[in-house]
Amino acid sequence: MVEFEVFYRKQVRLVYGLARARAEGPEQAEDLTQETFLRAWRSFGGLSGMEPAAQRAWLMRTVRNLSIDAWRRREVEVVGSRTLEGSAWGGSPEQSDLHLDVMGALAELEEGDRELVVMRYVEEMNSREIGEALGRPEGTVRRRLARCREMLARRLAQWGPEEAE
Amino acid sequence: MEEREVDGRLTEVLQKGLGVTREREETMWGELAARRALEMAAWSAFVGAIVRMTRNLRPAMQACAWPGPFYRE
Repeated sequence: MVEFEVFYRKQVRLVYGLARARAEGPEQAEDLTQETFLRAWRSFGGLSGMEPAAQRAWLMRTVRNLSIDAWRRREVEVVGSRTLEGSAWGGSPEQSDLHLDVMGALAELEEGDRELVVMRYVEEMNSREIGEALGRPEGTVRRRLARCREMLARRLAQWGPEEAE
Repeated sequence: MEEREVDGRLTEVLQKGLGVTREREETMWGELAARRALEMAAWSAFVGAIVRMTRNLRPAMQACAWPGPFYRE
């Protein structure tokens, strides 16, 4: 259990961030995260022997598939919808505005770019690590991240991140 | 603003905006561990029940042993 807990603490931000970036409300994202790690726990015998990049890829695939299944079951429209407004944020009005702006900004990205953004800014991975996890060249990751950074800085300017000079 | 500063600020804004907090991680861990413990307990109970049933069934089966459909006295 200790080994799994170490694994969990290393990966939970990535998994939760990905679930949230897929326009899941906080409760749904927590459910998805739990279900992902429950499956990981059941398969931990095999998973623990994998390289970290392969473990991350497994987790990302699992959360992606579970999210798709959940959406099919609920038949709810994806982003910019009542899902965002209806989700119980529970924070202050300012936090709620920040949350909506962040979700709106992420909605403008392609799905693949959303994953890049979560890996970079939530999990704080560098371009090489992201490239390894996704099986893409580091240069490609850097270029796509630069594009995302520009868009996010513009979109979220009121919260502080100005565009790079 | 330098790229590194932009990255730092975006990290802060996105983590806050997505609700990625230590508190949430701890809560989720607690619930996950509880759920897994329940799962293991349920599985143990199920396996235990099967073993007991098999153990109890054997003498009963032997006591009323049926010689087979083609047996003629």
